[in-house]
Amino acid sequence: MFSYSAFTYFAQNHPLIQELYKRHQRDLWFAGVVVTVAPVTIGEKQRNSHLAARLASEVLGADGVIATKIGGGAVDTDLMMIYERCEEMGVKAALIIMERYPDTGITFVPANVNALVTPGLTRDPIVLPPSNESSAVTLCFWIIPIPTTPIPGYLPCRPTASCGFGWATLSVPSARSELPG
Amino acid sequence: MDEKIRVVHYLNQFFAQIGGEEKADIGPGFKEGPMGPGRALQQTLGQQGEVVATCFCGDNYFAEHLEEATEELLGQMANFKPQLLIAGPAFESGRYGVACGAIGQAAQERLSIPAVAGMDAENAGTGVYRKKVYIVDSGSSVVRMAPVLQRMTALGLKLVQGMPLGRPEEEGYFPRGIKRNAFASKPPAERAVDMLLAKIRGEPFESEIATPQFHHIKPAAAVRDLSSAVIALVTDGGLVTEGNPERMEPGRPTRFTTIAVEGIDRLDSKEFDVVHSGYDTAFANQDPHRLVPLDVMRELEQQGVIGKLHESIHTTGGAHAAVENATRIGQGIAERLKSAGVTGVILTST
Repeated sequence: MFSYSAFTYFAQNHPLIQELYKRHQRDLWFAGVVVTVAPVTIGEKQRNSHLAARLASEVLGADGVIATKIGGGAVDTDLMMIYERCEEMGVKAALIIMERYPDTGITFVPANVNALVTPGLTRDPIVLPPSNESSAVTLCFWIIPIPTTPIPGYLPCRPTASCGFGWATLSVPSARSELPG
Repeated sequence: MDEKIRVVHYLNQFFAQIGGEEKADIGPGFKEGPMGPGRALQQTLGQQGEVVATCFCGDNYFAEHLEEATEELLGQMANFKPQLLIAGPAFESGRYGVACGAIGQAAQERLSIPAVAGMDAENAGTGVYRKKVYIVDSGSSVVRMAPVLQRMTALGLKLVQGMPLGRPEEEGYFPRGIKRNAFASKPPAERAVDMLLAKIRGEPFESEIATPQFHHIKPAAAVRDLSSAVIALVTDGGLVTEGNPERMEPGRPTRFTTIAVEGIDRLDSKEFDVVHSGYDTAFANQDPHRLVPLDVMRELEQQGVIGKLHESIHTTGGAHAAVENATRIGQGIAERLKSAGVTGVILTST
């Protein structure tokens, strides 16, 4: 699984959808999924984020939304816009959004966005701890799909087990306290 | 370990037992072996390391001759072939703290050895150097000399041996603004659902990513008269001269470059390249005017629509820029443009 994208299998077996199914009728009601795209121009981004938020709010009648994404830098904007439009419509929002370099993190965060979950940094290598056989199998499940050869035309970068979907059990501990003062 | 790690210790005039404020003007000095708190440092190191030399400098002298003092101390330090520099601890003393940070950074960069300093959180040196040098939180009281030296030593030995460091609160150093991946007990999906439910119920929750603090910049007043304006072209789209001789970074930029275009009407694709990790550069490489509209600006200049086109294009590669670097690059470009009398800028991005 390359950091910036994912195979169809992973979209079909999205960990967030699985989590929501698991908790459906327990502590929440899983209303449905809004699938959208990340267009290129600002006008399209505005229209698209409105449409996505309205589908969640008016068609699904959601009280809350968790938005995730596939893709790199510019797509952060779409996610933030969806977050803002949802909140404007009275739908509480949270985002799962990957971070990148150890010293950069993400840079596009509007001041009112206050519920972000990080699935880890894509450009920080992960050192796997020594493990017994059973946990090694679990870890391999995440690691194997990483392409070992660079994708042609793509700059040399180090794929890690981190992914925008949040498959790996990764986090950036005390991100708040470790951010540049 | 067979050989002891060679440690150099930096002290100010007070801790080197030369004198107090009245001796703050003395220049850099060296002595073999430990001095003052260096003896406690040697005890802490035990068999693992040896304080081969102590270097010292008056606080005022260092503050007033930062470069010369650093130069001289480093020059002498190199003779002792140290593997680690321990600076301070400086506790609350601001000038001493800044000296520890400066000498620590210089040792890291020029002697390629790790450095560990010790300071109070309020010490001016902490604010300036904590991102560049590991600074152990010493607190303000000199009474804590021994435990602080123990922490500094433990950290220093780990750095020399290339052992992984724990988080700042575990190791006792000030956070450097660096994030690292770690395994969490719950996957992101579960944490996100927990966070959202807490938010809906009005319960407290904490975002895992803090909102970056941006300075708000007041836009300059509009250009009133274009016909007398000097307009500059600036791009973060990665335009460079053919072959990228200055090795401009295609992403995560730390600097900008300048392309002289005086007397040039068109950007020939054979003479320019585009390097940028954030977009497909094929189209801009085919015709650089797709990125920087020099051709159109020259036409406007000839028609008298604008007064003059500035003689150079400033460029950088804008992908994944750290805010700190981007700010510095922006300030650098703005200063140059301002001193060159530029009154308006056209920024083209991708």
